[in-house]
Amino acid sequence: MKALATSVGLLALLVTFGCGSAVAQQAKLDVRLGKPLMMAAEKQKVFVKVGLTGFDIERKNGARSAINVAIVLDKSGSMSGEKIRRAKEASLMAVDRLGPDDIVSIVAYDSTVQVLVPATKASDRAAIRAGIHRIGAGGNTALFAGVSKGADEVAKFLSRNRVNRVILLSDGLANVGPSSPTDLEALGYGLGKRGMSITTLGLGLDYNEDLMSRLSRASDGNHVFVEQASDLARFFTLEFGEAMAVSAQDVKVKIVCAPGVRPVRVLGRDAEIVGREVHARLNQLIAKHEKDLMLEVEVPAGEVGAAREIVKVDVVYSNMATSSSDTLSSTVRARFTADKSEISRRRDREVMVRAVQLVSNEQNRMALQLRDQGKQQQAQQILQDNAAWLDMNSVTYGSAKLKDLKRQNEEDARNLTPGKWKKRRKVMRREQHRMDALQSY
Amino acid sequence: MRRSLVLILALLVLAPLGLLGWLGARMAADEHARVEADFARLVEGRLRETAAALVRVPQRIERELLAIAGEFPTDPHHVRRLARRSLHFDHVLVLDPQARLAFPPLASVTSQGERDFLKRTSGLWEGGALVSAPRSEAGKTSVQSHGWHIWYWGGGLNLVFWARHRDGRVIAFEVPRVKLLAEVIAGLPESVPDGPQERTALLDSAGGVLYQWGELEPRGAPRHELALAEPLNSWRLAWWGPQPTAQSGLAMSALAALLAVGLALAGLAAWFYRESSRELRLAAQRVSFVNQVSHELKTPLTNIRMYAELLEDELFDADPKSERYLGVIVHESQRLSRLIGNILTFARGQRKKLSLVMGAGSVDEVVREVLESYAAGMAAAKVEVKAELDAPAAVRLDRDALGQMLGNLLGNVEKYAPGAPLTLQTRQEGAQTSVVVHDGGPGVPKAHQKRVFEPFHRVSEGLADAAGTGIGLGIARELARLHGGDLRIEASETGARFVLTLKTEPSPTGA
Repeated sequence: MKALATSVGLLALLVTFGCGSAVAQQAKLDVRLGKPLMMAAEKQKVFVKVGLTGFDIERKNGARSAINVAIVLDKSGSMSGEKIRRAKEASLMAVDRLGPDDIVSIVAYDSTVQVLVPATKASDRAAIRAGIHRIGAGGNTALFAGVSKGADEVAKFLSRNRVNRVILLSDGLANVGPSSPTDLEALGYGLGKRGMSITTLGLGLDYNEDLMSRLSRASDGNHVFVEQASDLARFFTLEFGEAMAVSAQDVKVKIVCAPGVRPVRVLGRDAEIVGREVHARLNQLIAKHEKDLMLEVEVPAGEVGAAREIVKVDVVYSNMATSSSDTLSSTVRARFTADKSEISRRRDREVMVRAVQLVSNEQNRMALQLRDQGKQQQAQQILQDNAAWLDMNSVTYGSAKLKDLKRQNEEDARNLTPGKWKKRRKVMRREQHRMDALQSY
Repeated sequence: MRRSLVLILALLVLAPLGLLGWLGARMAADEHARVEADFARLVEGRLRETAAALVRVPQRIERELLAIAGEFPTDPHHVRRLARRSLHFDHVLVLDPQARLAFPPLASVTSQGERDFLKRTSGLWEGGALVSAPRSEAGKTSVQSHGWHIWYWGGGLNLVFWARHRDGRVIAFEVPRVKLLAEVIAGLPESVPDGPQERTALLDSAGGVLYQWGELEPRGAPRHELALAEPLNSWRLAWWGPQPTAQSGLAMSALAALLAVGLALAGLAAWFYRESSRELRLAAQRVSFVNQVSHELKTPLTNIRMYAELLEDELFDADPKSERYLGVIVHESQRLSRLIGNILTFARGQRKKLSLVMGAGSVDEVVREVLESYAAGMAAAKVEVKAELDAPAAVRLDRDALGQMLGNLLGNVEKYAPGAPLTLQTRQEGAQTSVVVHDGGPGVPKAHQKRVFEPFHRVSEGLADAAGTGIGLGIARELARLHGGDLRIEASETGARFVLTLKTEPSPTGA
């Protein structure tokens, strides 16, 4: 097994060098420890960050990855007026940006679902535009059915060589068919397993942010809070831009802890921990934007000067440039010392900042839960404590990002009152999602 | 008469019309029922097709899971890798041949997801719901037997597909409900803008909508429902739609035919009515003519009779020849005045103006007078009259009417029963007087007994037979009934036996 992994790693290296001066047509795997130097003679916990970055696809004709996208629009009664108009405009604009190899379908739902444009090549622009123009608003919200139908359209051309996405826009609560966040999460998980991601755009202040964010998270998709319908076009641009930049898909991460090392928890992502193994899946990677997996492990006591392997990481992904299934492999080791100041000096600032972000994100989530239970005071206390902790860490690691996060938590704490909560809750859910998933926009 | 004619004609028109209308309505109703039944069959057929397509989703999953079960790994490591990759299941339960839990390994390491899975499926591996999974000895394939297990947990349907491997293990795959539903929905039709006004819905066990399509917003209970086959048997399809539109063409044509038939019948009835009323008018004119003529004849005839009788009294002891001639004149003028009397009475009866003039008198007295006036005629006809009179009391009666009745009866005897004895009996019982006129002639055949009283009816129309108008008996009965009695023919061995009954109140003045 180990021999195999090594040889695969070698292969990846060969590919890298084989490309010569050109930018490597390979995703980048970067595994780092929060404390590469550890205190000797004591059992301790350490963060392991598994960073993954996509690459710019370079093809002779400058083509990018083809996308296969279903735009699923809520056209229930609440969408009538400006909302539906803006949604149609944004969709039309997005369709205009598509290339001849892209595939698009338009699904609209209220109480029932209408597949206005079945999955079709984007070159058939007139039919697609006609389909979008046909949309009118009225009725209930069969969100589950809409996503199911959209996913079915994507599934018709499901391919590892295309970026497979369902883009859902809704402004309301699902009320026809399965409507609980748990059910939608399960749907998202199933679709993620098939290689699709679901981007959810929540419009206005009346959508169910739990449902929408969990649907996205389960499929490792994006989640956006669009307060004003006039912003829809901007978010569609960002979303389609990201989809077109995808260079790696279906990224399966396997972390095997060295004997004696015990995985404690994974922050920010859903992962499966079985014994010493950790399995997780990321849907897509884009160039110059790192996504990661933060694992906390417990390391047994080591002797001064000794080195120890902590984890070995294997990644399998689908390379959009070469249409092949590529593997990446990396091992990370720690050394033990008794010098406390050196340990502190050698800390990996980036890893620690990210770990602090994720831990604070969990606190933020807990505050939201307490506020839901009506414990506004306790929620506020947690947010203020979180802000103070973030402030402290921002000084320790000299991080402006943590400073921002601190301010954000303070802002959260100020917006727990009934009048402001509805909107703030959506902001918090969006920020939590962005932080966990390292959403590109 | 006229009113009843109108009534009959109206009936003649309305009865067939009503019948036709009823038949038409029946036909239209039948047609409607047939259209509805056809429509129901159509909808049910479509629902069945949809249901069949629906159930193919779990069937496909079943096939794919069977293939996986056939080569199911034993190493937990491999089992987990399979679960991570499979699109059909996320979690799997393996029981060893002794029905003990083999995977997820309870004793050793498991993930949080596996622990949750074990919790929600505890009924399956603890309670032994799957332990009794049947073994089949004949199995040659790697999977011996398989089936679905359905239970409710966490607010919904949970599905497990189990397969017993040849090596004795039972492998139970949890098929996520939501994923199954998403696949089912993918295979179902979507709504079409401006599509048919109907709605089909997939409902869960609580009647909640899982998925629906069609433009109609349903109200009330669905018109058709269809339960799905295993393993989706807690779900059902429901259909709402409009009533099938009845084909109005048939009803319209039936109505038109009805109208045509009605018009034809009404025309026919109008023609009949006109014809018959013309005939009636003519008949009335004739009767009125005869009536007027009779009136004109009556006065000179009375004079002739009176002077003949006076002459008979004056010519006392004249030569017998002259006396015989005079007798004939008197007798014939009497017959003629009776005839005219009958005609006038009949005409009055026709105009419903027949009435009696009651006065005091004795029945026997009247009978004797009549017998006397007929004595000559009877003698000429060789009729021997035997009178047994027993109604001498003074009563209230119309002498003329009684005379006319008796005259008609005796006239008949004279005409139809000559040469035979005649018995005439009268009897009184309280206010009832009966007069029996029993002749010795050929009698009245049974078939004619009722109809002899009808006007213008005569037993024989032969030219050789006795002449007559055929109204005498009818008038006699009419008068008898007017007099509170009746005139009947009674059964008799010989001849005709007429019984005349009269209501005769005792006369207050006495006699």
